[in-house]
Amino acid sequence: MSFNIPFRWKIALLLTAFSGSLLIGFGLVSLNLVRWQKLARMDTQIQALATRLPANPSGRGGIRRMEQSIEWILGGERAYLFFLDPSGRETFRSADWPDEWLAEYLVNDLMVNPPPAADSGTVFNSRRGANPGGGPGIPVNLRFDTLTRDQKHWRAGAFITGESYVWVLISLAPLESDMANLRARFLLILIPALALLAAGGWFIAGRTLRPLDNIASAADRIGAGNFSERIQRAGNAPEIDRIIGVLNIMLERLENSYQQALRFSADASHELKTPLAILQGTVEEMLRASDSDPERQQWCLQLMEEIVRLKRITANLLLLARNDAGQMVLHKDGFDLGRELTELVEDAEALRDPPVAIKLNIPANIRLFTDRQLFRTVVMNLLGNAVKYTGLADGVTVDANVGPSAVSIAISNGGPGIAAEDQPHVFNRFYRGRDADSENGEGIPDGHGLGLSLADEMAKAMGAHVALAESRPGMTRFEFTLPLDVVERVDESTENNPG
Amino acid sequence: MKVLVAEDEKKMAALILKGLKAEGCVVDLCHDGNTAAELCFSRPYDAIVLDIMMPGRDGLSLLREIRRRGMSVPVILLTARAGLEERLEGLNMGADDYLPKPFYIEELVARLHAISRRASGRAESILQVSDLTLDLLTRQVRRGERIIELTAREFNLLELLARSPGRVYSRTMIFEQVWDYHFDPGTNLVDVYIKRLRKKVDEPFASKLIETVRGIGYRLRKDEA
Repeated sequence: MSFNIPFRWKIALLLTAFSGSLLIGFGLVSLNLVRWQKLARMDTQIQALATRLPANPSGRGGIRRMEQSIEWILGGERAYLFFLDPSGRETFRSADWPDEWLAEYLVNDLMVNPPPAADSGTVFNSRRGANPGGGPGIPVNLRFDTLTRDQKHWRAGAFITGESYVWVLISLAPLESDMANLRARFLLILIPALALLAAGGWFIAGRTLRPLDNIASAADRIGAGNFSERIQRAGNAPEIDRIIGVLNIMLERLENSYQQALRFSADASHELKTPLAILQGTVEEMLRASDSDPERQQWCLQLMEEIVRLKRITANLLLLARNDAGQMVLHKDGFDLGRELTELVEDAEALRDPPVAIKLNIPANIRLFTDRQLFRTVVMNLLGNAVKYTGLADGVTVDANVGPSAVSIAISNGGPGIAAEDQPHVFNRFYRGRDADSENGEGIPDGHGLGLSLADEMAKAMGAHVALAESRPGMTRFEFTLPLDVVERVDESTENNPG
Repeated sequence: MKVLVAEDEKKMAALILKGLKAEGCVVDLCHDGNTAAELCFSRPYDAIVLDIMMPGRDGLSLLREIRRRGMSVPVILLTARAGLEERLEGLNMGADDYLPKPFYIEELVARLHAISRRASGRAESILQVSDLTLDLLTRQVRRGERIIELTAREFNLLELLARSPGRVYSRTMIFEQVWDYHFDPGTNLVDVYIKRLRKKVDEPFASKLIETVRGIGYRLRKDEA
């Protein structure tokens, strides 16, 4: 079996996946925006502080105060200061500076990006773009950077004040923990949101597919033979309404042709049979009147021959038409399968001259209860076909079996087999394969191409079916399978009887 | 035998009339249901042949009316309507027999005789052609004093020929009337059965009854008398 997910599941899953990824993407962008904004605020604060920083690091007390006010502004977060003179020599560093590597990095950074003259008004080319402007001596044009060391994040701001290059270093740990907190909350909201989306998708898919369900159940009812059924419009779904409209138009055509078939089987049968009856009666009368005139008698019999042919084709076509119109009535009757088949086989053997040998393998004492005339029609048409095409030496074999679930009658014959391209069409009305006029059928006039189709359709009318089981050169086998409930009785007590 | 024939198709009716008259029946003919009702309720008939589809009044309702009035006259229904054959068989309409169109006039005559025999209680169920005797009730066949064993199919074939000795039947006509399934047999089948029948009916005896009419078919030799 192929991997087959119901459409409703697919819609719900796709909907959830699509809106889920949108939601996640939106969440990630928001988280980043929040982080970016927090950093920007921090930077603004550092910038504000920078203006108040003493120009000379020798004023130790002032720097300490500065540190404290930064911490105060930042809500208790520790801030570190780092002063360098223009030659890159360290002149001041906050007590308990966290990491020697960071200091080295900052010094190097200044050496790589040498600052412009202090009086030029621009300080440090920021990687994010220089900010020109500001008067000399006033610490503007800050440069900011985020540093990571040992999985700890730091925000560093650099600027020039007086003779000094100053770094302000602030730990980002509180910010990161805020962000982690936010992410956790986001996830906490995301999971029920996804579940809600899935449920919503399921519901919407169900609603969307309901009109399709209606179409399917209407089609079911129509399949059961109620061709006057129409599919209700969904009302609020123009796309589906269009399909329903098209289907309804199709149904109307179907109903019309069905009605025509009904009328045909009733009227045409009358229209065809009345002239045939007159024709036949007239020829019969002529035949009676020409007892003494052999030549006239022969003309009349030739006419009668053609009338009988016409009658047979008409009767078969009407039978098929009546079956199409669902007007077949079964006349069930109990009969002995063995005796019935023996008699039919006897008839079939006589179809060719010299006679074809037919082997009959059949369990004894099985009685069937079904429409006997239809049963004969099916078997005889299959037998006739087998006898016609088999090689004289091959003969025909009939195997009847009562299985656990069905009664099967297999009819096999030799001969050239049915060409592969003909096999799907053997049950079509009036279909005759390329080899229909083979030399094998000598002595048997061509059928009118209704035999197998008649067998097929009559079998269906009986609740049974006929299939071409296999066909290759030397072996063609048709199988006539009847449901087990046609078996009236299997008489086991006499099962071992010979014959 | 006095027979009422109600058949709206005039040509068909004329053929039936001719066929029945040839058998010595007295026939009243009408072409619509109302006339048929008038006739059958005012005159005594030995048998009635009713077409089902007729203007005025259809054959089935007339049949019901006949039975409602307690008349036991034998009725044969004629029908050309598909599907009705089955219904007639399935429902007990009170008809004694029915014939689907197209039928052989000869068949209609045979059935009329059969039902009138039944109605009159006379056991004329014997067909006799020279020294050949067919008992239609016991299905026993004799030639002279000798009993001949026939299969059901062989009996039906012989019965068909014996019904009208001297009449020629083509092979297709024989197949049509003796075999009861829908099948296109060709002609060989009938020849084979005639051969078997000859072996049993003719071979042991001096006079041959079954005649081949060259290029036409078969018939049973008519009595010289």
